[in-house]
Amino acid sequence: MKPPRMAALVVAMFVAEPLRESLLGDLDERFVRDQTRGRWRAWRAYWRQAIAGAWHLSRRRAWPTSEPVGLTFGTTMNSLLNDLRLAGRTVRRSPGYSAIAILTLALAIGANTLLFSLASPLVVRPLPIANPDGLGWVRSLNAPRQIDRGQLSMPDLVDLRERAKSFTAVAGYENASATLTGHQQDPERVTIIRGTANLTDVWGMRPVIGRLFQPQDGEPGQPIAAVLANHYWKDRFQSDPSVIGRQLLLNGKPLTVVGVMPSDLELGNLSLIDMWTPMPVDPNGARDARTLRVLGRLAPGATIASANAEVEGLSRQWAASYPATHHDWTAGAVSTRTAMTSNDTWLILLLLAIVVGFVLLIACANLANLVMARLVSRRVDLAVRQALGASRAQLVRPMMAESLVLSLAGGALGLGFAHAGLKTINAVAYEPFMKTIAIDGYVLVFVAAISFVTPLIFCLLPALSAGRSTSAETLRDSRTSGSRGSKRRRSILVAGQVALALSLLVVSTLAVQSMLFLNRIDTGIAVDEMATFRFELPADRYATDEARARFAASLSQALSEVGGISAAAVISHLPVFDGEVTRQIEGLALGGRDNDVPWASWYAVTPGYFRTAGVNIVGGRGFGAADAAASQPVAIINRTAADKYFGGAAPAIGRQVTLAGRNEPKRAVTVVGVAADTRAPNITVTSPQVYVPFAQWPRADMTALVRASTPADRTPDLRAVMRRLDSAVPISNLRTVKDIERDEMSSTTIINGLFIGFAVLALTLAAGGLYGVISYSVGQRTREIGVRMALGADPSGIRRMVLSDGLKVTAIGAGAGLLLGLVIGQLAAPVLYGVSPHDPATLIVVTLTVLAVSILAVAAPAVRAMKLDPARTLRGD
Amino acid sequence: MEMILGDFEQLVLLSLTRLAREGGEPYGVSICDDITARTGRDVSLGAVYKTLERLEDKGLVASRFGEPTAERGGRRKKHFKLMAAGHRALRQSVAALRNMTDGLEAELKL
Repeated sequence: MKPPRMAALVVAMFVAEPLRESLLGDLDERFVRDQTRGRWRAWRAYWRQAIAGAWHLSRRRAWPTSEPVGLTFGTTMNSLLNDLRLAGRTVRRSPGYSAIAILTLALAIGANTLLFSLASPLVVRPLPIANPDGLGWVRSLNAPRQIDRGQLSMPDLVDLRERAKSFTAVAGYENASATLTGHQQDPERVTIIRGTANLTDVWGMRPVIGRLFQPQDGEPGQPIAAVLANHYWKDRFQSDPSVIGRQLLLNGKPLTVVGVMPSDLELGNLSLIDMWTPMPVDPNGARDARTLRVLGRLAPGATIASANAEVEGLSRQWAASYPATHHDWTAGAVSTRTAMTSNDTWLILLLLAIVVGFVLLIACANLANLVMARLVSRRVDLAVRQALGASRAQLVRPMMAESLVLSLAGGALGLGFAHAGLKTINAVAYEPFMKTIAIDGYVLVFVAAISFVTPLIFCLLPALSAGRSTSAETLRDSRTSGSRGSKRRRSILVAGQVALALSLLVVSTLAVQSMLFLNRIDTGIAVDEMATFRFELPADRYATDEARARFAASLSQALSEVGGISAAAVISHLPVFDGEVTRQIEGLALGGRDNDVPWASWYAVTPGYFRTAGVNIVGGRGFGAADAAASQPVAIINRTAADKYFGGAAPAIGRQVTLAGRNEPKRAVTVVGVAADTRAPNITVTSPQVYVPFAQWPRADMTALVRASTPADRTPDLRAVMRRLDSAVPISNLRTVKDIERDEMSSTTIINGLFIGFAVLALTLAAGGLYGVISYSVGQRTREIGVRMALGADPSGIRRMVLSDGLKVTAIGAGAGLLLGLVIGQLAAPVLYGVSPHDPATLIVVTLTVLAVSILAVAAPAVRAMKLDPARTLRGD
Repeated sequence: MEMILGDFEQLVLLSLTRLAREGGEPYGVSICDDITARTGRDVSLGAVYKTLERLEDKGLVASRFGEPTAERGGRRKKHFKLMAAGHRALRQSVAALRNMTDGLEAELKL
């Protein structure tokens, strides 16, 4: 095995004679010796030493002046600057070439920078946690229900505290919302994190002012000690430090502000939180009230793996001890980074990283071709210099310097592209964290690094081929058209580009089909014609179920009387877009299927709901005013529940079942109707559902829903109606359902936009590369074509020859690209919906597209070749 | 003249002295190997050459080219030897270190 030539070239480029000779000799000698310990090791050691050598010995005078300088090339800082100055001049002198190169680089670097900006908060930026590696995040899992990042209940947390030896402390928190009064005119709805008293300590937070939670916080009898989120403190209290000690009312209970959180905590969903309050630890809470996110500080010596094993063991004991609530449930511990991001997110980031990486490679291949073409056009000049004793490094250095200048310019422009892309994403995004992503220090470092590395990639091949042909040959006949080898190298580059572009198109087309599939899914509700808002009745003035039910009835009545509103309802929570609330269904005889505890997604609705949401009753009856608190308890189930649990709609009507939820007595209900399905929050599936009359299951927090042909115009009316009925109740989330859907889909839209944009970019760059190479080779072969035609070759035969040259390269590239596309498609399978990773239609369409674009790219040079005038070409100018 | 040697310069000069006593003509690879073997430090050839270059600048070592060999791809070795000034500087440095460590054997667990 021979020493790596590229590494030797790196040394030759950066280390001056005479040191170069001895260093290269040393490297060779060591390489021979190292090979006895393995080729890979020897190869790696050579590279490492070569890079270290280049690093230490570049940019300084070669050796003290003991030897004559003469023709030897003194590698000095000055000459590097000279190179760059010269390069700048060359770049300005050929503006066409420079513009194409800079634009190509800018697009590729811009794409990479854009993705890096999006990924960096998840990947490189420090998490807002003091010691993320010292934490384990406990999650519950339920395989049959496809839950893999579930939460835990308070008794689970208490068990973990008492029995899990992997953790020295275990904390938990849950999201909540409440009405805050006392600091301004209107009562305000705030989002809260309720955490155990040790949460801020385990998490490792530091307050900006005041204090965080203390051990006695949250115990019954204590006033609520609240820590404000930084943005809330800024917006509502103008960053006033005297806010500490302020008394406010939270849901009517006294609250004292004790501290303010730091702003770097506002990452991801945490940016939605207004304040943090302590919660009591109640070991006797419901075992299946899985509302808590749980985190523990790892004990010395414990790892995520050991904690995971221990938690898993504990969860198996729970399943054995509490089959009613823990059947099918397990639990496990994961690291902070894993807990903060879902597997799907990582996979999508990886796919996008592959895509932009390919875009960069395609751009590099284009530039490598450009640089090689330039080297060929300067070959006489180079040959003369070589004949006069210039080394390969000397021949290559100006090219490297020029490429670096182009790349830096491209990087700067690419930064601009990335900035524009981010602005678009900020505008489209819904999640607050996506709205704030911008170019920061990390991104600048990334751009600088990629701008320096890229020219190294695309100068590799040209550098290898430079000075390969002997100068004598070149000088003898300056009109030869580049060596056979260089043509083959260019063809390989283009085939590679076609392969990369095609595989990207495959992946992107799959992603788009997946998005279209998701968009096409009928959610089962009239998304386009509804508006909604949410509120909670204060417990002091609406103390009884009767009062709440009465309010719900009068609100839906008042709303439906507004002009332009065709139907209105009050419901417990929004279907499709809000999380599911489930009840177990008892009293079903499911022969032999006792493993599967029957359950359904539960909704309490006023009678107008089905008309408002556009959900048809397909069997039995809907709810009416007669289904009041005192009448017979009834329920409506959806078609999925009817099919799954009763074997169809007809057998379900009239059946009595028991609904069991946590924190409430079991209630027997009679099924009186079957409704059409609406989708679950994960819209690719439909859960069994059960609807009950709001009057029979009243509650304080309600969601109002109205149907109108132009829902956006009705939102002021909704506010007015609510103010008329009770002006002291704050409303939140007043929006059209369409807006909610758009926000839900915003991340998908952004991701698919990126996939499409990058794929189009890749195809354009690859087509440009193909066109460039074919027309260049036609230009080089002008003489040959002239001779052929003079000897009587048919012009259409010439055209065929050029076309087939180009298409042969394309075909090879397309074949490789299909294979690559299949592999990446397989990788993407978990995030694809409604389309197979090897969907034949996609593969065919994409291949045809690439072939069509290739034919277009090749056609122009082919026609030009056909029209050549043999007499002129042979006269030879 | 008092010459302060850096830590790595000392290692290179010591290695040069030892290799010369053992009868060899020290060059890049042998110096690098010797330092790695004795100190466990992963030393790159580049760093060694950079230091030798500086030492030669200061007049502490001198170099000459050897004959080309096949295993080196026909390239010549650059041999180094310690000059009198280098010997003096090394002796001063080592003496200074000895003086500093004197009596601290127990504390340093030497």
